[in-house]
Amino acid sequence: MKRRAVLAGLAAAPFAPSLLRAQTGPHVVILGAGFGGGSLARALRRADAGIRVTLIERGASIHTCPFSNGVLGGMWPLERVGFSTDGLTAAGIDVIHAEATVIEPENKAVILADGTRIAGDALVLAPGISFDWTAIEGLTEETAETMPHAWQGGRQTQILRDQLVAMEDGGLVVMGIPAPPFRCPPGPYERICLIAHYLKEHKPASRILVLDAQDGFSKQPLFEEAWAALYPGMIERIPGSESGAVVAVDAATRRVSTLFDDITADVANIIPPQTASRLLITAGLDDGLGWCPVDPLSFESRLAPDVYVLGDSALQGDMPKSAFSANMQAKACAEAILARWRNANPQPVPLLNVCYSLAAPDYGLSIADVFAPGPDKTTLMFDQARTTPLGAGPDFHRAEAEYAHSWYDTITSEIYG
Amino acid sequence: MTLHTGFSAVFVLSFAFAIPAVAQDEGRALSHACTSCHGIEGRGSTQIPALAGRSASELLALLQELRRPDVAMDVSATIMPRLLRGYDDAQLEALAAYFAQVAP
Repeated sequence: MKRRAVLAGLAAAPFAPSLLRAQTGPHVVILGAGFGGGSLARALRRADAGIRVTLIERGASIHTCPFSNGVLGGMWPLERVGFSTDGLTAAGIDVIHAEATVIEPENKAVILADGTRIAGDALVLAPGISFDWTAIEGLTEETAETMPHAWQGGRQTQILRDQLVAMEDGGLVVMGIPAPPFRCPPGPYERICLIAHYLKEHKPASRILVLDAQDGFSKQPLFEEAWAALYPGMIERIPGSESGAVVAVDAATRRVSTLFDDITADVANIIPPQTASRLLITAGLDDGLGWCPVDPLSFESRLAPDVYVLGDSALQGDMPKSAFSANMQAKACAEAILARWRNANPQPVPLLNVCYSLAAPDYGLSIADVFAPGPDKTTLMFDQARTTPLGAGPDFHRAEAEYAHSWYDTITSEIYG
Repeated sequence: MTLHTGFSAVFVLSFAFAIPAVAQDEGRALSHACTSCHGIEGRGSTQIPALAGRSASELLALLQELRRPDVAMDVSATIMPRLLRGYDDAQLEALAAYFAQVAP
Protein backbone atom coordinates (compact mmCIF):
# COMPACT_ATOMS: atom_id res chain seq x y z
CA MET A 1 0.00 0.00 0.00
CA LYS A 2 2.74 2.41 0.99
CA ARG A 3 4.79 1.46 -2.04
CA ARG A 4 1.89 2.08 -4.40
CA ALA A 5 1.41 5.56 -3.02
CA VAL A 6 5.08 6.30 -3.55
CA LEU A 7 4.95 4.98 -7.11
CA ALA A 8 1.84 6.96 -7.97
CA GLY A 9 3.55 10.13 -6.83
CA LEU A 10 6.36 9.55 -9.29
CA ALA A 11 4.15 9.32 -12.36
CA ALA A 12 5.19 12.65 -13.87
CA ALA A 13 8.10 13.61 -16.13
CA PRO A 14 9.14 10.37 -17.80
CA PHE A 15 12.73 10.33 -19.03
CA ALA A 16 13.38 13.75 -17.53
CA PRO A 17 17.11 13.08 -17.03
CA SER A 18 17.68 12.08 -20.63
CA LEU A 19 15.71 15.03 -21.98
CA LEU A 20 18.15 17.28 -20.22
CA ARG A 21 21.06 15.54 -21.91
CA ALA A 22 20.78 16.81 -25.47
CA GLN A 23 21.51 14.32 -28.25
CA THR A 24 21.84 11.40 -25.88
CA GLY A 25 19.24 8.65 -25.92
CA PRO A 26 17.69 7.24 -22.79
CA HIS A 27 19.49 4.61 -20.78
CA VAL A 28 17.39 1.47 -20.77
CA VAL A 29 18.19 -1.19 -18.17
CA ILE A 30 16.89 -4.68 -18.94
CA LEU A 31 16.73 -7.68 -16.61
CA GLY A 32 16.86 -11.05 -18.38
CA ALA A 33 18.37 -12.00 -21.75
CA GLY A 34 15.67 -14.45 -22.79
CA PHE A 35 13.05 -14.04 -25.50
CA GLY A 36 11.63 -10.88 -23.88
CA GLY A 37 14.72 -9.05 -22.64
CA GLY A 38 17.07 -10.22 -25.39
CA SER A 39 14.58 -9.24 -28.09
CA LEU A 40 14.04 -5.82 -26.52
CA ALA A 41 17.77 -5.12 -26.30
CA ARG A 42 18.23 -5.98 -29.97
CA ALA A 43 15.13 -4.04 -31.07
CA LEU A 44 16.30 -0.87 -29.29
CA ARG A 45 19.80 -1.22 -30.63
CA ARG A 46 18.57 -1.75 -34.20
CA ALA A 47 16.20 1.20 -33.97
CA ASP A 48 18.51 3.83 -32.57
CA ALA A 49 22.25 3.81 -31.98
CA GLY A 50 21.92 6.70 -29.50
CA ILE A 51 20.18 4.59 -26.89
CA ARG A 52 22.30 3.10 -24.15
CA VAL A 53 21.21 -0.45 -23.38
CA THR A 54 22.35 -2.37 -20.30
CA LEU A 55 21.29 -5.99 -20.05
CA ILE A 56 21.60 -7.96 -16.82
CA GLU A 57 21.72 -11.75 -17.17
CA ARG A 58 22.94 -14.21 -14.58
CA GLY A 59 24.55 -16.74 -16.92
CA ALA A 60 27.05 -16.36 -19.77
CA SER A 61 24.76 -18.52 -21.87
CA ILE A 62 21.03 -19.03 -22.26
CA HIS A 63 19.34 -22.39 -22.67
CA THR A 64 15.92 -21.98 -24.20
CA CYS A 65 12.77 -23.84 -23.22
CA PRO A 66 11.55 -23.90 -26.84
CA PHE A 67 13.05 -26.96 -28.52
CA SER A 68 14.21 -28.38 -25.16
CA ASN A 69 11.64 -31.16 -25.51
CA GLY A 70 13.65 -32.35 -28.53
CA VAL A 71 16.60 -32.82 -26.16
CA LEU A 72 14.40 -35.03 -23.95
CA GLY A 73 13.34 -36.98 -27.05
CA GLY A 74 16.96 -37.58 -28.05
CA MET A 75 16.45 -35.63 -31.29
CA TRP A 76 19.33 -33.21 -30.67
CA PRO A 77 21.83 -32.46 -27.87
CA LEU A 78 21.47 -29.74 -25.23
CA GLU A 79 23.87 -27.55 -27.25
CA ARG A 80 21.15 -27.12 -29.89
CA VAL A 81 19.21 -24.97 -27.39
CA GLY A 82 22.21 -23.13 -25.87
CA PHE A 83 23.21 -19.60 -26.90
CA SER A 84 26.07 -17.37 -25.79
CA THR A 85 25.31 -13.74 -24.93
CA ASP A 86 28.41 -12.68 -26.91
CA GLY A 87 26.26 -11.69 -29.89
CA LEU A 88 24.39 -9.22 -27.70
CA THR A 89 27.68 -7.70 -26.54
CA ALA A 90 28.93 -7.51 -30.12
CA ALA A 91 25.75 -5.61 -31.05
CA GLY A 92 26.74 -2.81 -28.65
CA ILE A 93 24.70 -3.86 -25.64
CA ASP A 94 26.34 -3.61 -22.21
CA VAL A 95 25.84 -7.12 -20.88
CA ILE A 96 26.38 -7.56 -17.14
CA HIS A 97 26.62 -11.12 -15.86
CA ALA A 98 25.31 -10.97 -12.32
CA GLU A 99 22.50 -12.15 -10.11
CA ALA A 100 19.85 -9.50 -9.45
CA THR A 101 18.78 -9.45 -5.81
CA VAL A 102 16.46 -6.44 -5.47
CA ILE A 103 14.37 -4.32 -7.82
CA GLU A 104 13.65 -0.69 -6.95
CA PRO A 105 10.80 0.36 -9.27
CA GLU A 106 10.77 3.91 -7.92
CA ASN A 107 14.43 4.33 -8.91
CA LYS A 108 14.13 2.25 -12.11
CA ALA A 109 17.03 0.29 -10.67
CA VAL A 110 18.26 -3.26 -10.14
CA ILE A 111 20.56 -4.12 -7.23
CA LEU A 112 23.07 -6.86 -8.00
CA ALA A 113 24.39 -9.51 -5.62
CA ASP A 114 27.58 -7.52 -5.01
CA GLY A 115 25.53 -4.46 -4.03
CA THR A 116 25.98 -2.54 -7.29
CA ARG A 117 22.95 -0.48 -8.24
CA ILE A 118 22.18 -0.30 -11.98
CA ALA A 119 19.67 2.47 -12.69
CA GLY A 120 18.28 3.79 -15.98
CA ASP A 121 15.70 6.14 -17.44
CA ALA A 122 13.57 3.11 -18.17
CA LEU A 123 13.67 -0.33 -16.54
CA VAL A 124 12.45 -3.40 -18.42
CA LEU A 125 11.90 -6.59 -16.45
CA ALA A 126 11.84 -9.90 -18.31
CA PRO A 127 13.07 -12.45 -15.76
CA GLY A 128 10.63 -15.28 -16.59
CA ILE A 129 8.85 -17.34 -13.96
CA SER A 130 9.33 -18.48 -10.39
CA PHE A 131 8.00 -21.78 -9.06
CA ASP A 132 5.54 -22.00 -6.21
CA TRP A 133 7.43 -24.43 -3.97
CA THR A 134 4.64 -24.40 -1.37
CA ALA A 135 2.08 -25.98 -3.71
CA ILE A 136 3.14 -29.64 -3.75
CA GLU A 137 4.10 -31.31 -0.47
CA GLY A 138 7.65 -32.66 -0.62
CA LEU A 139 8.58 -30.82 -3.82
CA THR A 140 11.32 -28.25 -3.21
CA GLU A 141 14.22 -26.78 -5.14
CA GLU A 142 16.34 -29.59 -3.63
CA THR A 143 14.02 -32.51 -4.39
CA ALA A 144 13.53 -31.14 -7.91
CA GLU A 145 17.08 -32.37 -8.53
CA THR A 146 15.62 -35.89 -8.29
CA MET A 147 12.19 -35.11 -9.68
CA PRO A 148 13.10 -32.50 -12.28
CA HIS A 149 10.62 -29.99 -13.66
CA ALA A 150 12.79 -29.20 -16.68
CA TRP A 151 10.63 -26.08 -17.05
CA GLN A 152 13.64 -23.78 -17.04
CA GLY A 153 16.17 -24.66 -19.74
CA GLY A 154 19.66 -26.03 -19.28
CA ARG A 155 20.70 -28.13 -16.30
CA GLN A 156 17.17 -29.27 -15.45
CA THR A 157 16.62 -30.39 -19.06
CA GLN A 158 19.79 -32.48 -18.88
CA ILE A 159 18.82 -34.08 -15.54
CA LEU A 160 15.52 -35.29 -17.01
CA ARG A 161 17.19 -36.46 -20.22
CA ASP A 162 19.79 -38.45 -18.24
CA GLN A 163 17.05 -40.08 -16.17
CA LEU A 164 15.16 -41.13 -19.31
CA VAL A 165 18.33 -42.61 -20.78
CA ALA A 166 19.11 -44.49 -17.55
CA MET A 167 15.58 -45.93 -17.22
CA GLU A 168 15.05 -49.62 -18.03
CA ASP A 169 12.69 -50.66 -20.80
CA GLY A 170 9.25 -51.21 -19.29
CA GLY A 171 9.64 -48.27 -16.92
CA LEU A 172 6.95 -45.79 -15.92
CA VAL A 173 7.43 -42.07 -16.64
CA VAL A 174 5.09 -39.87 -14.58
CA MET A 175 4.54 -36.29 -15.65
CA GLY A 176 2.79 -33.80 -13.36
CA ILE A 177 1.20 -30.79 -15.06
CA PRO A 178 0.10 -27.79 -12.95
CA ALA A 179 -3.03 -25.66 -13.08
CA PRO A 180 -2.78 -22.66 -15.40
CA PRO A 181 -1.45 -20.11 -15.96
CA PHE A 182 1.98 -21.54 -16.64
CA ARG A 183 4.80 -20.96 -19.10
CA CYS A 184 4.15 -22.49 -22.56
CA PRO A 185 0.58 -23.90 -22.48
CA PRO A 186 1.20 -26.60 -25.15
CA GLY A 187 4.69 -27.43 -23.81
CA PRO A 188 3.79 -30.32 -21.50
CA TYR A 189 1.82 -32.05 -24.25
CA GLU A 190 4.62 -31.67 -26.79
CA ARG A 191 6.90 -33.14 -24.12
CA ILE A 192 4.64 -36.17 -23.74
CA CYS A 193 4.93 -36.72 -27.51
CA LEU A 194 8.70 -36.41 -27.71
CA ILE A 195 9.38 -38.56 -24.63
CA ALA A 196 7.02 -41.12 -26.20
CA HIS A 197 9.00 -40.83 -29.44
CA TYR A 198 12.20 -41.68 -27.55
CA LEU A 199 10.60 -44.55 -25.63
CA LYS A 200 8.98 -45.99 -28.77
CA GLU A 201 12.38 -46.16 -30.46
CA HIS A 202 14.49 -47.34 -27.52
CA LYS A 203 12.26 -48.64 -24.70
CA PRO A 204 8.97 -49.65 -26.34
CA ALA A 205 7.55 -51.50 -23.31
CA SER A 206 7.61 -48.29 -21.26
CA ARG A 207 4.59 -46.15 -20.44
CA ILE A 208 3.80 -42.51 -19.68
CA LEU A 209 1.28 -41.54 -17.00
CA VAL A 210 0.17 -37.90 -17.13
CA LEU A 211 -1.22 -36.45 -13.90
CA ASP A 212 -2.83 -33.23 -15.03
CA ALA A 213 -4.37 -30.49 -12.87
CA GLN A 214 -6.06 -29.18 -16.04
CA ASP A 215 -9.17 -30.64 -17.66
CA GLY A 216 -8.79 -29.29 -21.16
CA PHE A 217 -5.53 -28.11 -22.70
CA SER A 218 -3.96 -26.25 -25.61
CA LYS A 219 -4.35 -27.91 -29.03
CA GLN A 220 -5.98 -30.90 -27.24
CA PRO A 221 -7.73 -32.53 -30.25
CA LEU A 222 -4.53 -32.26 -32.30
CA PHE A 223 -2.35 -33.76 -29.58
CA GLU A 224 -4.82 -36.56 -28.94
CA GLU A 225 -4.95 -37.25 -32.68
CA ALA A 226 -1.14 -37.49 -32.69
CA TRP A 227 -0.97 -39.71 -29.58
CA ALA A 228 -3.46 -42.17 -31.10
CA ALA A 229 -1.68 -42.22 -34.47
CA LEU A 230 1.94 -42.32 -33.28
CA TYR A 231 2.00 -43.77 -29.76
CA PRO A 232 -1.05 -46.03 -29.31
CA GLY A 233 -1.34 -47.59 -25.84
CA MET A 234 1.70 -45.78 -24.45
CA ILE A 235 0.11 -42.69 -22.88
CA GLU A 236 -2.50 -42.50 -20.12
CA ARG A 237 -3.76 -39.11 -18.91
CA ILE A 238 -5.77 -38.39 -15.76
CA PRO A 239 -7.41 -34.94 -15.99
CA GLY A 240 -8.04 -32.53 -13.14
CA SER A 241 -11.72 -33.48 -12.86
CA GLU A 242 -10.62 -37.03 -11.98
CA SER A 243 -8.18 -35.82 -9.33
CA GLY A 244 -5.24 -35.72 -11.72
CA ALA A 245 -3.47 -32.92 -9.86
CA VAL A 246 -0.27 -33.91 -8.06
CA VAL A 247 -0.55 -32.91 -4.38
CA ALA A 248 2.51 -34.57 -2.83
CA VAL A 249 5.75 -36.33 -3.76
CA ASP A 250 8.41 -38.34 -1.98
CA ALA A 251 11.67 -37.90 -3.83
CA ALA A 252 13.49 -40.73 -1.99
CA THR A 253 11.05 -43.36 -3.29
CA ARG A 254 9.90 -41.44 -6.41
CA ARG A 255 6.33 -41.65 -5.14
CA VAL A 256 3.84 -39.24 -6.69
CA SER A 257 0.47 -38.69 -5.00
CA THR A 258 -2.85 -37.30 -6.12
CA LEU A 259 -5.87 -37.06 -3.82
CA PHE A 260 -6.93 -40.41 -5.26
CA ASP A 261 -3.82 -42.49 -5.72
CA ASP A 262 -0.12 -43.05 -4.95
CA ILE A 263 2.10 -44.02 -7.87
CA THR A 264 5.74 -45.07 -7.83
CA ALA A 265 7.53 -43.71 -10.89
CA ASP A 266 10.79 -44.71 -12.52
CA VAL A 267 11.16 -41.17 -13.83
CA ALA A 268 9.08 -38.35 -12.34
CA ASN A 269 8.87 -35.03 -14.18
CA ILE A 270 6.82 -32.81 -11.90
CA ILE A 271 6.16 -29.28 -13.13
CA PRO A 272 5.20 -27.03 -10.18
CA PRO A 273 2.62 -24.23 -10.34
CA GLN A 274 4.18 -20.91 -11.31
CA THR A 275 4.12 -17.19 -10.54
CA ALA A 276 5.84 -14.09 -11.82
CA SER A 277 9.49 -13.92 -10.83
CA ARG A 278 9.74 -13.57 -7.06
CA LEU A 279 11.99 -10.52 -7.51
CA LEU A 280 9.08 -8.68 -9.11
CA ILE A 281 6.58 -9.86 -6.50
CA THR A 282 8.89 -8.74 -3.69
CA ALA A 283 9.10 -5.34 -5.39
CA GLY A 284 5.30 -5.09 -5.27
CA LEU A 285 4.91 -5.12 -9.04
CA ASP A 286 2.31 -7.93 -9.00
CA ASP A 287 -0.26 -5.95 -6.99
CA GLY A 288 -0.88 -9.12 -4.96
CA LEU A 289 -2.04 -11.03 -8.06
CA GLY A 290 1.01 -13.28 -8.55
CA TRP A 291 1.57 -11.78 -12.03
CA CYS A 292 2.45 -8.20 -12.93
CA PRO A 293 -0.28 -6.10 -14.55
CA VAL A 294 0.84 -4.09 -17.59
CA ASP A 295 -0.60 -1.78 -20.22
CA PRO A 296 -1.36 -3.85 -23.36
CA LEU A 297 0.11 -1.33 -25.83
CA SER A 298 3.44 -0.46 -24.18
CA PHE A 299 3.79 -3.27 -21.59
CA GLU A 300 4.51 -0.58 -19.00
CA SER A 301 3.71 -1.65 -15.45
CA ARG A 302 0.33 -0.48 -14.18
CA LEU A 303 2.06 0.29 -10.89
CA ALA A 304 5.34 1.99 -11.76
CA PRO A 305 5.99 4.58 -14.50
CA ASP A 306 8.85 3.83 -16.89
CA VAL A 307 9.04 0.27 -15.60
CA TYR A 308 8.02 -2.35 -18.15
CA VAL A 309 7.34 -6.08 -17.70
CA LEU A 310 7.66 -8.46 -20.64
CA GLY A 311 6.98 -12.12 -21.21
CA ASP A 312 6.05 -14.76 -18.66
CA SER A 313 5.87 -12.48 -15.60
CA ALA A 314 3.45 -10.03 -17.23
CA LEU A 315 -0.31 -10.00 -16.71
CA GLN A 316 -1.37 -8.54 -20.04
CA GLY A 317 -4.56 -10.34 -21.05
CA ASP A 318 -4.97 -13.13 -23.56
CA MET A 319 -1.48 -13.72 -24.96
CA PRO A 320 0.03 -17.02 -23.78
CA LYS A 321 3.30 -17.19 -21.87
CA SER A 322 5.41 -18.14 -24.88
CA ALA A 323 8.70 -17.21 -26.51
CA PHE A 324 6.88 -15.81 -29.54
CA SER A 325 4.68 -13.64 -27.30
CA ALA A 326 7.65 -12.32 -25.32
CA ASN A 327 9.47 -11.43 -28.55
CA MET A 328 6.36 -9.70 -29.91
CA GLN A 329 5.81 -7.81 -26.67
CA ALA A 330 9.45 -6.72 -26.68
CA LYS A 331 9.06 -5.15 -30.12
CA ALA A 332 5.89 -3.32 -29.06
CA CYS A 333 7.65 -2.18 -25.88
CA ALA A 334 10.66 -0.92 -27.86
CA GLU A 335 8.32 1.15 -30.06
CA ALA A 336 6.68 2.57 -26.93
CA ILE A 337 9.99 3.47 -25.27
CA LEU A 338 11.23 5.13 -28.47
CA ALA A 339 7.93 6.97 -28.93
CA ARG A 340 8.03 8.34 -25.37
CA TRP A 341 11.58 9.49 -25.86
CA ARG A 342 10.51 11.31 -29.07
CA ASN A 343 7.41 12.65 -27.36
CA ALA A 344 5.12 10.74 -29.74
CA ASN A 345 2.47 8.08 -29.32
CA PRO A 346 3.16 4.45 -30.23
CA GLN A 347 0.95 3.07 -33.02
CA PRO A 348 -1.33 0.25 -31.97
CA VAL A 349 -0.62 -2.76 -34.19
CA PRO A 350 -1.93 -6.33 -34.06
CA LEU A 351 0.08 -8.61 -31.77
CA LEU A 352 0.74 -12.16 -32.91
CA ASN A 353 1.52 -15.42 -31.22
CA VAL A 354 2.52 -18.60 -32.99
CA CYS A 355 3.39 -21.77 -31.09
CA TYR A 356 4.65 -24.74 -33.04
CA SER A 357 4.79 -28.10 -31.31
CA LEU A 358 6.44 -31.28 -32.53
CA ALA A 359 4.60 -34.56 -32.03
CA ALA A 360 7.47 -36.42 -33.74
CA PRO A 361 10.54 -35.25 -35.71
CA ASP A 362 8.52 -34.80 -38.92
CA TYR A 363 5.12 -34.08 -37.38
CA GLY A 364 4.46 -30.45 -36.47
CA LEU A 365 1.29 -28.73 -35.35
CA SER A 366 0.60 -25.09 -34.58
CA ILE A 367 -1.60 -22.51 -32.98
CA ALA A 368 -1.53 -19.04 -34.55
CA ASP A 369 -3.41 -16.13 -33.00
CA VAL A 370 -3.92 -12.41 -33.41
CA PHE A 371 -4.45 -10.10 -30.43
CA ALA A 372 -5.61 -6.50 -30.31
CA PRO A 373 -3.56 -4.31 -27.91
CA GLY A 374 -6.63 -3.11 -26.04
CA PRO A 375 -8.91 -1.72 -24.94
CA ASP A 376 -7.70 -2.63 -21.46
CA LYS A 377 -5.84 -5.89 -22.13
CA THR A 378 -4.41 -7.89 -25.01
CA THR A 379 -7.56 -9.33 -26.56
CA LEU A 380 -7.81 -12.49 -28.66
CA MET A 381 -9.43 -11.42 -31.96
CA PHE A 382 -10.65 -14.78 -33.33
CA ASP A 383 -11.65 -17.73 -31.18
CA GLN A 384 -12.27 -20.21 -34.02
CA ALA A 385 -9.94 -22.04 -36.43
CA ARG A 386 -6.83 -21.14 -34.44
CA THR A 387 -4.86 -24.36 -34.95
CA THR A 388 -3.67 -26.78 -37.58
CA PRO A 389 -6.84 -28.47 -38.86
CA LEU A 390 -7.64 -31.98 -37.61
CA GLY A 391 -6.90 -34.68 -40.21
CA ALA A 392 -4.41 -32.37 -41.89
CA GLY A 393 -2.32 -35.21 -43.31
CA PRO A 394 1.38 -35.98 -43.38
CA ASP A 395 2.44 -33.28 -45.86
CA PHE A 396 0.88 -30.55 -43.74
CA HIS A 397 2.48 -31.91 -40.55
CA ARG A 398 5.86 -32.29 -42.25
CA ALA A 399 5.69 -28.69 -43.49
CA GLU A 400 4.81 -27.45 -40.00
CA ALA A 401 7.75 -29.38 -38.50
CA GLU A 402 10.08 -27.68 -41.01
CA TYR A 403 8.56 -24.29 -40.25
CA ALA A 404 9.01 -24.94 -36.53
CA HIS A 405 12.77 -25.41 -37.04
CA SER A 406 12.93 -22.38 -39.31
CA TRP A 407 11.10 -20.21 -36.75
CA TYR A 408 13.37 -21.37 -33.92
CA ASP A 409 16.56 -20.72 -35.89
CA THR A 410 15.31 -17.31 -37.01
CA ILE A 411 14.10 -16.00 -33.65
CA THR A 412 17.22 -17.16 -31.85
CA SER A 413 19.48 -15.57 -34.47
CA GLU A 414 17.41 -12.37 -34.27
CA ILE A 415 18.30 -12.25 -30.56
CA TYR A 416 21.66 -14.01 -30.11
CA GLY A 417 23.14 -13.93 -33.62
CA MET B 1 9.31 -9.88 -71.34
CA THR B 2 12.29 -7.65 -70.59
CA LEU B 3 10.25 -4.56 -71.26
CA HIS B 4 7.48 -5.77 -68.97
CA THR B 5 9.86 -6.56 -66.09
CA GLY B 6 11.55 -3.20 -66.50
CA PHE B 7 8.25 -1.42 -66.45
CA SER B 8 7.05 -3.08 -63.26
CA ALA B 9 10.37 -2.39 -61.54
CA VAL B 10 10.01 1.32 -62.31
CA PHE B 11 6.41 1.25 -61.18
CA VAL B 12 7.27 -0.45 -57.89
CA LEU B 13 10.18 1.87 -57.23
CA SER B 14 8.06 4.97 -57.70
CA PHE B 15 5.32 3.43 -55.56
CA ALA B 16 7.78 2.74 -52.76
CA PHE B 17 9.13 6.27 -52.82
CA ALA B 18 5.61 7.64 -52.89
CA ILE B 19 4.64 6.16 -49.49
CA PRO B 20 3.97 8.97 -47.06
CA ALA B 21 6.03 8.98 -43.86
CA VAL B 22 3.07 7.97 -41.71
CA ALA B 23 2.37 4.89 -43.83
CA GLN B 24 6.09 4.07 -43.72
CA ASP B 25 5.98 4.21 -39.93
CA GLU B 26 2.87 2.07 -39.87
CA GLY B 27 4.45 -0.48 -42.20
CA ARG B 28 7.57 -0.63 -40.05
CA ALA B 29 5.55 -0.96 -36.84
CA LEU B 30 3.45 -3.72 -38.40
CA SER B 31 6.52 -5.51 -39.77
CA HIS B 32 7.85 -6.38 -36.30
CA ALA B 33 5.28 -9.16 -36.08
CA CYS B 34 6.70 -10.84 -39.20
CA THR B 35 10.41 -10.95 -38.50
CA SER B 36 10.74 -13.72 -35.93
CA CYS B 37 9.74 -16.09 -38.78
CA HIS B 38 10.64 -14.18 -41.96
CA GLY B 39 14.01 -12.94 -40.70
CA ILE B 40 15.39 -9.59 -39.60
CA GLU B 41 13.67 -6.90 -41.69
CA GLY B 42 12.07 -9.72 -43.68
CA ARG B 43 15.35 -10.87 -45.21
CA GLY B 44 14.43 -14.54 -44.97
CA SER B 45 15.30 -17.68 -43.05
CA THR B 46 15.97 -21.32 -43.82
CA GLN B 47 12.47 -22.43 -44.86
CA ILE B 48 10.22 -19.41 -44.48
CA PRO B 49 10.48 -17.05 -47.48
CA ALA B 50 12.06 -13.60 -47.54
CA LEU B 51 9.85 -10.54 -47.96
CA ALA B 52 12.46 -7.79 -48.27
CA GLY B 53 12.90 -6.19 -51.68
CA ARG B 54 10.04 -7.99 -53.40
CA SER B 55 7.65 -5.83 -55.38
CA ALA B 56 4.88 -4.24 -53.36
CA SER B 57 2.25 -5.38 -55.83
CA GLU B 58 3.47 -8.99 -55.68
CA LEU B 59 3.54 -8.94 -51.86
CA LEU B 60 0.10 -7.36 -51.63
CA ALA B 61 -1.39 -9.90 -54.04
CA LEU B 62 0.17 -12.74 -52.00
CA LEU B 63 -1.06 -11.34 -48.69
CA GLN B 64 -4.58 -10.90 -50.04
CA GLU B 65 -4.56 -14.42 -51.46
CA LEU B 66 -3.31 -15.88 -48.15
CA ARG B 67 -6.04 -14.04 -46.25
CA ARG B 68 -8.75 -16.02 -48.09
CA PRO B 69 -10.23 -18.56 -45.63
CA ASP B 70 -10.47 -21.27 -48.33
CA VAL B 71 -6.68 -21.47 -48.69
CA ALA B 72 -6.30 -22.55 -45.04
CA MET B 73 -5.82 -26.25 -45.89
CA ASP B 74 -3.12 -25.52 -48.47
CA VAL B 75 0.18 -26.98 -47.24
CA SER B 76 2.19 -23.95 -48.32
CA ALA B 77 -0.18 -21.56 -46.52
CA THR B 78 -0.09 -23.16 -43.01
CA ILE B 79 -0.44 -20.39 -40.42
CA MET B 80 -0.76 -17.34 -42.68
CA PRO B 81 -4.55 -17.45 -43.28
CA ARG B 82 -5.06 -17.69 -39.51
CA LEU B 83 -2.89 -14.63 -38.86
CA LEU B 84 -3.89 -12.41 -41.77
CA ARG B 85 -7.55 -12.28 -40.80
CA GLY B 86 -6.42 -9.79 -38.14
CA TYR B 87 -5.26 -7.27 -40.79
CA ASP B 88 -7.33 -4.88 -42.93
CA ASP B 89 -6.55 -3.86 -46.53
CA ALA B 90 -4.75 -0.68 -45.51
CA GLN B 91 -2.48 -2.63 -43.14
CA LEU B 92 -1.64 -5.18 -45.83
CA GLU B 93 -0.80 -2.32 -48.21
CA ALA B 94 1.44 -0.70 -45.60
CA LEU B 95 3.22 -4.01 -44.97
CA ALA B 96 3.73 -4.70 -48.68
CA ALA B 97 5.05 -1.19 -49.28
CA TYR B 98 7.37 -1.40 -46.27
CA PHE B 99 8.99 -4.73 -47.18
CA ALA B 100 9.29 -3.66 -50.84
CA GLN B 101 11.61 -0.79 -49.89
CA VAL B 102 13.87 -2.88 -47.60
CA ALA B 103 17.10 -3.91 -49.32
CA PRO B 104 17.02 -7.71 -49.71
